[in-house]
Amino acid sequence: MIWMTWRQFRAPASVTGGLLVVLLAGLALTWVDVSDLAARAGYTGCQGDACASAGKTFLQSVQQNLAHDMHLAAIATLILLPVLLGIFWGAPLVARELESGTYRMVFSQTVSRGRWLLVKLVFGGVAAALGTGLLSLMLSRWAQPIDAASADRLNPLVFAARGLVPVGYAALAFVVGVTAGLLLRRTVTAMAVTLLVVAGLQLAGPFLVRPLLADRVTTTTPLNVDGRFGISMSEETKEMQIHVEPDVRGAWILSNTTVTPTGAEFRGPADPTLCGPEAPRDNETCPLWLKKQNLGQQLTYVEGSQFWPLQWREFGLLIALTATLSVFSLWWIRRRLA
Amino acid sequence: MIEFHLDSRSGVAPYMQLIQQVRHALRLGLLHEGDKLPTVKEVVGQVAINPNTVSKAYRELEYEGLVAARPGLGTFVTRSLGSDSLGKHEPLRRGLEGWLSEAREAGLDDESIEALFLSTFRAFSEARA
Amino acid sequence: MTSALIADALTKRYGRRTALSDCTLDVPAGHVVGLVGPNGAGKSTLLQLACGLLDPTAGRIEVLGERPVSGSPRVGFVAQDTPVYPNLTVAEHLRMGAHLNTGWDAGLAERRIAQVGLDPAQKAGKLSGGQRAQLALTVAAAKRPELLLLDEPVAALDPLARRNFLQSLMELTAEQGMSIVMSSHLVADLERVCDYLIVLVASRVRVAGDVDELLAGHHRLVGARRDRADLGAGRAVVEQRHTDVQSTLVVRSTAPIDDPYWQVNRMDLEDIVLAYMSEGQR
Repeated sequence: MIWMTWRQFRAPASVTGGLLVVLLAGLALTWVDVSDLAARAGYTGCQGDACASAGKTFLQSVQQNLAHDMHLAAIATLILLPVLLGIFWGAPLVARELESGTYRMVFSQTVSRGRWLLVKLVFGGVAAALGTGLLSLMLSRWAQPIDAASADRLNPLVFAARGLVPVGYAALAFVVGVTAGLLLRRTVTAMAVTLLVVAGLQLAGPFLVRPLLADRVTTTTPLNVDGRFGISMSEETKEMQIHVEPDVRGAWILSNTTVTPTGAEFRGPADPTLCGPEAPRDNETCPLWLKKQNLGQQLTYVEGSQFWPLQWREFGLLIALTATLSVFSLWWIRRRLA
Repeated sequence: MIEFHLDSRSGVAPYMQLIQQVRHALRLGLLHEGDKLPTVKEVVGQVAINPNTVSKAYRELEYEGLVAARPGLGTFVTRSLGSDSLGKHEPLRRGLEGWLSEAREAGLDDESIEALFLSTFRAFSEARA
Repeated sequence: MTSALIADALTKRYGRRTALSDCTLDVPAGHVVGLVGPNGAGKSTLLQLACGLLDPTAGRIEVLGERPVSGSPRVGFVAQDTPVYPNLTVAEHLRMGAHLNTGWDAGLAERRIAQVGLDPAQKAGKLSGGQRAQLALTVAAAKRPELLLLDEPVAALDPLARRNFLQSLMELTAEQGMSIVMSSHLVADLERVCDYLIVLVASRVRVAGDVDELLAGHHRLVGARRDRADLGAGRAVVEQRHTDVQSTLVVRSTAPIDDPYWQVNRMDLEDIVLAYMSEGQR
């Protein structure tokens, strides 16, 4: 069964493997560039406050380098990889055999249906996990100075391209594809459904599930209007909304609301003589007026230090889903088929 | 080695056709005493028929004493029907040729002659059976 | 002698469509069994039930004394249209057989491939229909099954390919002594090759038995028109046709029919099958 699985898996595995090799080579080639840039900006080995400006310089220099494109390419690949694995590895696995009728030949050999599917699931699942894991590991190491400087690892686009989470999505997407092929029995339909389901999961993950998995922190601090802030105001009703960028480094901001002393969202109304397009010297009078309103900034966020606990939790959930779907598929192929 | 063929439309049972073909081959001198008949596998590979049919034919021939099965070696001819047996019947051949000329003179064409002969022969055989 | 296949009130339904209803069979082992009937009669369903690819809705089926399960080493199956893996070569198909079967006879497989003239390095997708059928037969037979099931293996083949396939099949039977159940809607092929016949029409078994017995037991009776023909005990009318002056009956009987009223004619296998098929579809 192992030879047969490999023989049928050869082509898609080689294509994916080739793509991975190209990316890994690209990362290897630009590795030195990144560390050079970090050293030149004085970011390597810096201490304390000096790091903030060195970090900014470093990040700007990276933007202009080829390394930036490399970074984007690698992130894009890690995010797209689950969908591609689901569509090209998973969906045809069973569907093609059912559609072309070759299942009648292979199931009349001396191998049980359960064992046939199990070997294919394990082979494909492990390959998906290893490939994605290797790329994720390399990228995480490669981007270590960048991540340290930008302190943005919980950003959904970055989070999905670091650590264990991509591995979880890859394994789950593969098994989603296999299950879709098994239930729908048509390769193209299974590919389409897999695309929708995996894309849906990858979107639902960060926005619906991850906030629930994380330990959230909610704070209300006095609103700081000394720095820059944004105002949006409606002409007729004089309703206004204030937005101030939070100053929590490395955190993932889930919600940011400007609140009145009672805790409700601040909506104005604005004093048109002091704040707004009609007010003269708006830049001076508006902040003073706002300060008098005693506004607060209510933040719900996940601290940067939560990166690894959250990775493990999401990975665990994804693997649990993968296992459940696998068990379901094995049950289905044994009990029903035609 | 002789080859068999099957006429699916002759109305004669397949195993009977095989027996007749062996007898015919013996009569014509194509098979001699001691010759090996094709194995069951060889026959069915040539003529797509059920192996049991071949076995049945060979058993019947053995019962008639024409062949003998030697385990592990095959089936061999034990008795010939005389290669010149047809030659022994010269008077019959001449009688038949005479009859054929008469039939021609009576105005029968080839098909009518054949039909007349076959129907008479069949009725004759069935009456005897 | 053991039975190759036993069915007891076997029924298979797909939603509202009934593929097989109430089939009862006792097919002896060591025979070449023909399964004949019109398209849609249920032949494929019966064969797939016998090799474990389908489960019955009701009733029971037993193959070689066991409940059928897919992946049995004792039962081989050649599916309709003989599917093969298009991207695998002939040799790779044999390799698959060797890896996936415990009792694989590699010598037999290679001999057959050479005898049929297949190029081991050729991709199976490029083979002709007849060559694909021979490859599928080799893969099914080289695992040395006790029972080989074939679902219309020659339906799409030209006459020469058909003949070659049947020759190969008979050679395998002669060599290995396995039981064969082969479905077809071409009765002429079955006549030379089968010694047991099952006629399946509209999801039911119409008749099943040894070919010699069927031939001996069925006759066509022709006589003057008689609407209610009573032929006595042990004689069953399979089919009857009447014109204004004449009645023709197909009768199955154990005892000889010597009523002078009727002209009694022997029937060949194709006639017998056709009688059951036309009667069954009414």
